[in-house]
This record gives sequence, C-alpha cells and structure tokens, in this order.
Amino acid sequence: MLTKWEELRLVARCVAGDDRRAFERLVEEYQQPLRRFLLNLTMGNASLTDDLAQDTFLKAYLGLRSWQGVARFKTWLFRIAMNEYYGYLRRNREILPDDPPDSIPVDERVDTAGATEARLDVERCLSVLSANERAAVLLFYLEDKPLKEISRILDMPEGTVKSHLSRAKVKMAQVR
Amino acid sequence: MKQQNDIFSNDDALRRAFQKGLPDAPVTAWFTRKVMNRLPPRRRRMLNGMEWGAYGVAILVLAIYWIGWISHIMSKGTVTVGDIGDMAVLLGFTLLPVVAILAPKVVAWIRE
Repeated sequence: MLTKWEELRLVARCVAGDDRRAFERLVEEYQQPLRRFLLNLTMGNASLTDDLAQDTFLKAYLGLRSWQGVARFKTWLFRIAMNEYYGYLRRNREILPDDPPDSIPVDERVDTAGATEARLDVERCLSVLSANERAAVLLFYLEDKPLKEISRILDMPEGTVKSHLSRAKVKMAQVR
Repeated sequence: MKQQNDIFSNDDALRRAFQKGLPDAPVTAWFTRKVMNRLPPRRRRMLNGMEWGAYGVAILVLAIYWIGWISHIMSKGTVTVGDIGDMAVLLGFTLLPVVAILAPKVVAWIRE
C-alpha cells in the first residue's frame, strides 16, 4: 500500500513529466482492489470488469491534473469506477441504479464451478441488492472502507450510505 | 437460518463472510500492459520550442566566445595559464547544453 506522499510523488511525476513508469506503478498498486470491487459489483462478469477497470485507469490518467490530493488516490479511483459503472448501466439500459439487477447467466460468472457454498451464499445475497446498495455493501464489508470514504466514492451523504447498508442487510437476511 | 440471521446483526462476521466468500481479482501483468497500451501517445513537451531556442542561443554565444578565444591565441602566438583557464571555463559552459540535450535521450534509451 502506497503512502499518501508516495501517491502524490507518483502523480506529480505523471503530471509534470508524463512519466509512464510512475503511472504504471499506480496501476500495479491499485488494479487488484479495483478489479475485485468491480468483479463483485458486476456479479462476477470478468470481461465487463476488465473493460470498466481499464476505462477507469484511462480516465484517471487523463484527469490526473484534477486530482486535488485531498482524498486518497484510491478513493478517487473508486469514484471514477463507480461513474464508469453507472455510465455502463445507463448505456445498456439493463437496470436502473436503484432497481434490483437481473441475474447474470451462469457462463459469464467467474469460477462458478469451483465456488464454495459460502461464496455462492454471499453472491446470492449480493444479487438481490440494487447497484447502490451492492456498491455500499462491497465497499463497507469487502473493501473495509469507512462511511466517510464510501460517501465520497458514491457521491452521497453518509446518512444515505447508512440507509443503503441497513436496507441491504434486511434484504440479504431474507435470502434463503 | 438462525445462524445466518446472527451474521447479519454482526458487522465483523459479515465482513469476514464477504472477504472469505467473494472472488478475488489477482494482480496480473497482462492487465497493466493493456492499460499502458491504451494510454494516449506521449504528449510533446510544451517547452520544447523554448528549450531548443535557448539551446540555440547558448550554442551561438559559445561559438562566438570560442572563435574569439582562438583568434586571440593565434594573434598572440603564445598560450598563457590565463588562456588555459579561459578555455576550461568555456569548455565547461559548452558541455552544459550538450549534456542537457543528450542526457534525457540517453536515460530514455537505457529505460527502453
């Protein structure tokens, strides 16, 4: 995990000298949490995850000058990823952000054959949530992020994040 | 059923269940390469024109000094310690723009 100063230094190198090595270091550092988040947000759709993650890094690179350094780089990156995901939902008119998602075909899921009972249960719990609830749940429980950071990523007040979380817990408890 | 409901009243248990139960996305060099290949071509440095202009002026001024120094030596017919000192200073100033021009290219070549 990079420190904030290391992030600032790497971003400064990218902005000042178009240093690709510095950006590559940022991609290497943050691709794993970002892809894990997107993989579960898209209910295991690996190809969509990679597309969204690539677009996120590309947008981040193009907008590096707008990163003010107040929030952590990772928080900013997740915020871009959420915008990309919402953009994808709007473009594909699959589901509205507050509607429960349709089920994803089994062959698009990752590692379904080897999935454990626990994984299937958690995935099933996620499948009944809306996009915002799923994002809040993943950021809170999987990424272990505090409410303040989640509200920044989802661009909503902390109270709304809390209500998404409690509503999600009720929905998930009703699964089975 | 009861056990599952207990989990939903305990954030830590739920966190453990999510972290254990959901698929991970391991770091892959392939993904990094894909992202790097999609970046736009390197932008030309905005200072390029000014930079080369400054180098041009520096080289012109140095050439005038070198010509002056050589014609001074030839007209005198002898080389003094002071002349050698002048030459050393001129040589130092001449190497500065040369190193400034070549160094980034050598560094880029080594990195590739």
